[in-house]
Amino acid sequence: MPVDFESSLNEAAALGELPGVGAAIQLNEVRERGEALYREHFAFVWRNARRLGCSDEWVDDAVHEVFLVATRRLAEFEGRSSMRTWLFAITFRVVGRLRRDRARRSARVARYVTEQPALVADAARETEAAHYLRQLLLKLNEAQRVVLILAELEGFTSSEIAHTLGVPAGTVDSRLRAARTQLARVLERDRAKHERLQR
Amino acid sequence: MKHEEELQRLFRAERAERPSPLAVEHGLHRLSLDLAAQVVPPPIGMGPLKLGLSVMPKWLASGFALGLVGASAALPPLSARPPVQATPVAQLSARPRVLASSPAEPETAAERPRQETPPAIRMPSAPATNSAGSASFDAELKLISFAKSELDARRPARAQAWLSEHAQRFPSGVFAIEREALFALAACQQLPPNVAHAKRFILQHPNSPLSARLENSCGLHVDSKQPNGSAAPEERTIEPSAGEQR
Repeated sequence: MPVDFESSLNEAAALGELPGVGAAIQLNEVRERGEALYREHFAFVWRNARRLGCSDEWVDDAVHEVFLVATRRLAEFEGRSSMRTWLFAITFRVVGRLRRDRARRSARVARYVTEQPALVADAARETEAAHYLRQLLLKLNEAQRVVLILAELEGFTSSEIAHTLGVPAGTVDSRLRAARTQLARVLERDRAKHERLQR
Repeated sequence: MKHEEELQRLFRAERAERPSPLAVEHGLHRLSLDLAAQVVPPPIGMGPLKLGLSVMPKWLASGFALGLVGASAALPPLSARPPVQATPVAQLSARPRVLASSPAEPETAAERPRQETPPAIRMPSAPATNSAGSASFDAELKLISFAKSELDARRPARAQAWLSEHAQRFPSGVFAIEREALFALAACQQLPPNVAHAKRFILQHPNSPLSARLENSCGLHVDSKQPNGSAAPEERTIEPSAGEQR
């Protein structure tokens, strides 16, 4: 079902949430910017919010807030990095904040729980493997997790990641190696545990 | 090698994850409503993520960045308050303005001038060892930092909303005094400005560095009545600036 922005605006106006008519032009520009940004990058933000630790219950809250922030601060985007790494940095911060703020998260989940649609296109594609990988990611420290997500899952180069993190490219490479080593270690541990249970 | 193959399989599975079209449209609808209603998300930091570089405890670094940690450390104990030393107006105006600093100004611990660092830092109760205390401290700091960001952006009403939430959740919190000062500053930023809160804060905390900052930010002027430049609290008078609303 395509979204009709006019009806959304009318809905907001009916709720008394719209400012005066004088701001209409500016509002129009903001929502167009937000819509374009959202349509182009929703999937990117959504999947990385989950990789950074969002559970299905609050991933929509996190994604929503990322686009609210990004739309408002789009003028600050200087184009020195890619739009996606800029959005990733916002996503990282928003997810971290929401994760820490349990009380707020609970309130928001309660507010939107009745209108949440199914989160994944095809339930069969929500594979056990993908879920397991996201659990593994949470066992890495933040620095390693971010590098692994950007390099292995999103395909960014070392220099792009280095710019996003504000560290030398060599540091990115060493963190990536450490992350892979750590994942292999956890895989080995899980495998051994599984075999013990099988016996 | 076995692990490498396994990892690649997991990576492929994760890369194949896609959101449902319904979730996309639902999110877009929600975003459009909030953009139309000009909903403001809580402020977050921008710039490089700088992960894994912090050697200073998070609560202390955040406090320094806010210019708040230690600000109330100079407050004398309630039971043994020393005589009030009135500060000459010329000296007040020379003090750096911290509370209403621009968000563009860097305020890291490293960049802060030495003379601004207070002689003693009031430590929160065991922030590093008590996880509940630490979470509570984080929550407090977050609310205060949101309020300060709003003040930096000259949005006093929103700042007061954050401060009210802090007052409700942490009436006697670590940042209770800073909250009062920020609330007074927000009142000064209102149109028309209301300096009554600032005056009350200054009278209650005459020795606090926050009082000096409030005097500067709210355009209050202190008159010393005694020849030696000092005045008892009850004798200290504050002249409101033009346009004050009582």
